[in-house]
Amino acid sequence: MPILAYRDALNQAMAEEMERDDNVYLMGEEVAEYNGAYKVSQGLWERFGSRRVIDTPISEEGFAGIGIGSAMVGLRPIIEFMTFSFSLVAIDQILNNAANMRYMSGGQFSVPIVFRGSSGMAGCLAATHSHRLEAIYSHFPGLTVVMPATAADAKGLLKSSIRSDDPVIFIEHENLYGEKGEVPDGDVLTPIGKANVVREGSDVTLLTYSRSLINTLAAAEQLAGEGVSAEVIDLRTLRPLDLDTILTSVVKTHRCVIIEENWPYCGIGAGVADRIYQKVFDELDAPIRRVTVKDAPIPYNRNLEASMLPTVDRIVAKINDVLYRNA
Amino acid sequence: MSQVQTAPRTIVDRQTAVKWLRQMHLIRRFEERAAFLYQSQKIGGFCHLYNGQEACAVGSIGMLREDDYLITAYRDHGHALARGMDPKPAMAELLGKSTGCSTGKGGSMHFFEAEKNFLGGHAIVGSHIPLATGVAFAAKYKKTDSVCLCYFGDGAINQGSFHEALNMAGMWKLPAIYYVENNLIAMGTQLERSSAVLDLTVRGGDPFKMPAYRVDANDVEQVAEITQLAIARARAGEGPTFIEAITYRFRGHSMSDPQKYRTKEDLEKAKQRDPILLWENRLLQRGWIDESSLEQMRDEIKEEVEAAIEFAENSPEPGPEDLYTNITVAPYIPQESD
Amino acid sequence: MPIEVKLAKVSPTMESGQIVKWLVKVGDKVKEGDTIAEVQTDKAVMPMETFDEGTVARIDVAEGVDIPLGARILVLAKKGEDPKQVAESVGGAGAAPSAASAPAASAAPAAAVSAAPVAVASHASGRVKSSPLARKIAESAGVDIASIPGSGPAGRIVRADVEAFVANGTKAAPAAAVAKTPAPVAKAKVFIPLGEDQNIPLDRMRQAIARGMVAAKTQAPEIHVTVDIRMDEVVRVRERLNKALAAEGVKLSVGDFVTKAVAMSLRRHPAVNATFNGDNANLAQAYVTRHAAVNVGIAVALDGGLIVPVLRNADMYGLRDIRVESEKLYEAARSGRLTADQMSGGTFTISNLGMYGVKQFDAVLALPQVAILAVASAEKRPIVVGDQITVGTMMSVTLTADHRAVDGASAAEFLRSLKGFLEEPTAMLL
Ligand SMILES: Cc1ncc(C[n+]2csc(CCOP(=O)(O)OP(=O)(O)O)c2C)c(N)n1
Ligand SMILES: [Mg+2]
Repeated sequence: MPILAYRDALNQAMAEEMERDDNVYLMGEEVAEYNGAYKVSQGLWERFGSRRVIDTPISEEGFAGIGIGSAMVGLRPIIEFMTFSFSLVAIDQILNNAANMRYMSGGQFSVPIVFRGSSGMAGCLAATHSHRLEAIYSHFPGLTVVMPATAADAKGLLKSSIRSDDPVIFIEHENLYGEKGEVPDGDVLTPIGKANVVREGSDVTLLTYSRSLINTLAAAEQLAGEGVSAEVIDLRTLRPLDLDTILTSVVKTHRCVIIEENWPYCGIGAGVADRIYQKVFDELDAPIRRVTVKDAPIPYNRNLEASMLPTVDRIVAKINDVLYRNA
Repeated sequence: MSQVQTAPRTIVDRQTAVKWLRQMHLIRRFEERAAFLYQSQKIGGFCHLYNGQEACAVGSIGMLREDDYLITAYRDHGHALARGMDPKPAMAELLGKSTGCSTGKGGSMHFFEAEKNFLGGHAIVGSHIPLATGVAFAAKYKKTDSVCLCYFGDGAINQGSFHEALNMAGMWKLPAIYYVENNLIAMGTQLERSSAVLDLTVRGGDPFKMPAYRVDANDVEQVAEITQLAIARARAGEGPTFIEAITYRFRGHSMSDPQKYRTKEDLEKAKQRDPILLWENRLLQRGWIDESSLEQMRDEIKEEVEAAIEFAENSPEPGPEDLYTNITVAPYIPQESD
Repeated sequence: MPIEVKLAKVSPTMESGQIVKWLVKVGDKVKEGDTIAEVQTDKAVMPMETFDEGTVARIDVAEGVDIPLGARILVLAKKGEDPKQVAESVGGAGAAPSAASAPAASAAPAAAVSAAPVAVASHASGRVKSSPLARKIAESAGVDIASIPGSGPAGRIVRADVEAFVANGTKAAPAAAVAKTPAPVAKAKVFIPLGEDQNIPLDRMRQAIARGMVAAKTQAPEIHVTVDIRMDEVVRVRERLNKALAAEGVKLSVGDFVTKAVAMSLRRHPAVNATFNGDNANLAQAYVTRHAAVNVGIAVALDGGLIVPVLRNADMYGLRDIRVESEKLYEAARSGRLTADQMSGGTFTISNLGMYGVKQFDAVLALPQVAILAVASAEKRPIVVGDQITVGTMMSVTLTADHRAVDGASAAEFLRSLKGFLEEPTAMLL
């Protein structure tokens, strides 16, 4: 299997889908001539031309709305936010229009659109540019929220998202763009709504997604050396959540830690933990623990920023907690 | 209805003129050293330099009173220094130190200095334009004659917030000055690919019933003259003014810009109209400075910036406890799970 | 505002209880101090009083249902309040409670009267903390979660604890003190079982015993020291004294002599009249209390278990009063009417199986007391006196002592005193 960077896997997914379906187009700031702020759309403008790869002014609300309108009448836009932090400027379009359109129209209009772009605390970007908004988007019925952690899933999930008939919030991570991995050639789709058991284990279930998968796997590996067998699950889709895979694992291990680069309160982990408690409370031998970003705005200072992230140490500590290994 | 100012007129005295030259040099030197520190990985994140645009800030801020306000976007080092921010806390902020002008929390894009009515650098394109309008609203509300000077880029005009805010400012005759620093490009998008109309005074003036002026912002004196006019209108209660300052940025959009959208020649040509050079020559012509005093000025500035770097390097990092400071006025209660 | 009457703590160690019998019904007027119910605690059936005046508007729990301390059991309408309305406002019709109709009272934990009382057992210090999984496993293993020591944070009982407990279950079984019936003798004949195996859930008392025994066996390292005591003098003196007391209808037992002798020996050996206070995990903070009073607990076998009433200041009583006071305690114990006071404050315990003809046995400590005396039967045995073999009435007693507090030598010294008093009872007059 070819080895591709996450960035290139996304690029390949878009190229293949644009090749396959003329209704698919890419629009956003600096996506065409500049080849993308993060070079995800490298070469696409050259290949598909200005009809299908379109630079916009800095008008997020405007082009998000344009994408939604065009999707209502049959196109399949990919709308790139340079980062999801800027999607806040367009949030009315996404939440009021994209998410609600099918419902409000009694099923007459659907919105097959993908909003995609980078996100996260990528290093000294400070409070306005480091947002992770998956919890907000996952809150809204009508949206599908996808967050790939690997190059293979970046491609497979983006292709599935483009083919989805519903609006998909496809959140990438700036620090993952360079991560390389095996990516299947050609038309391989990763199903939406399906989590991936990345590492099997029997003592504790670790739920994570996006960049946190890296540290979570490192924590699992470290604990394996101490005789702890951790099962690592990459959620991949946050809405709809693959509860079956999660519960099967938790019922097996009886313990669960959720790792996310997200604020703790009303975050993804909080929501997922609640769904687990509702279903298999009696299977738990310890309260579910969550490792999150610390509950403060994101600082510019490098050390402070680093101190907020779910590090391997913080993850290991929480795992030891649920295993009662801290005494 | 754009009005274009052409011939420079002497509008400031020698002392102010030299001070402005000094400020422009300080900004240039500060930015050069920042670029170096960025490459040495002492500065992180996004860092947008002001080289080439110095006259925009210096000529306009130079006309403000102490009780006036200013606010800008993320390319904010120049405005801060022109407003008189000490280079030490400015540099310390770039290094993320607790002595920085935003205590190391804001970084390059988020400079603030309340004491000087500098309401900050703002990193979401267009989002501070309504804030400026609110500040002007407050000035009028409190029956003061302060004005608010608001800087933004040619790219920002395309945000809805721009249109919404200017409409209300025009309608309510708020004491605001909307000052677009048109460097002809937004990141990698040239003006002709972002604006349906190339004359931005068309977009910022008539639709909102405010006078709009275009000015060659390589000429600090022209900038000052137009700003003076706008300030006078605002103070007199006549409402806002839109200024399109034509300028050029000599460096990339941020530190990671390959600048494929322009040629070396374009850049070299633009540098021949370097605002610092133009101003220096004019002052030499007027006999307000000479080569030796210029030399001395440059040396002093070098020292000042080196001292700022030294200060920044020797300043403490924020401690872990600072993560939770200044989040709310009330005691902050982290909603943490651990 | 109607008054919510909650299950009161009528025994010092109770965590939950059952209403054995309601003494009031909906519509009854009650006033302060009235006994409204009989409550089965871990120890006994206790009367429960009300501290308020009013009309019974609603009875929340049925007789025989296990409820945690603090759960609402009854609601009183105050003067001027309509009991019917009160009953409705606090949840449903007030009459005819049944185990199935769980009250939706805010104050009462929902589980209080549900079919699964296991989860709500609580310690004197609060809830028993346990993981949901641990509870599930314990439930299906038929183990009372509350009897399992927890190893998790704040003593939370986790899966590993339950599994270990279940695995070691037989080892941790209650002590010989309650093993009344000898193991059945195997028969050569084909054995046809009559009826089916029965699973008998632990009632409150059994649970309390089990909990106490497990604690003793897991926390305290025990030593056992046995002496044989010649009881011929006691037999003689007893005969004489009983003649004198016949008119009063008082009849001393050998056990009363033992109680007296124990009390007097304890006076001389305060190290044995003591309690151990503290935690093995933190011995730096632990201490031994040598008690000023000699309060002797005397184990009484009951149908479902045993109970230990306490004869306070036993060293101050003469033999006659020991007899009279003990009799009162036994009587109360057998009828389940011991008061909390009569069951607490013991500084030493005597377990006497003399009436069953046992030769010798070991008792398990009643923590935090540091010692307990197991008293076997007085029987005729061949003994050596001088160089002659002769027949004497002999009784073996075994002191079990908590070695954290008491050493073998101290135990032996105490037993030497005891032996002295019993072999020469008149010495007790000194
Ligand atoms: C809402 C939003 N969208 C996109 C960006 C990314 N971005 C930062 S600066 C910039 C270009 C802005 O150009 P302009 O307004 O002309 O200012 P200049 O950089 O030329 O000073 C872009 C697209 C952003 N910061 N905020
Ligand atoms: Mg620009």
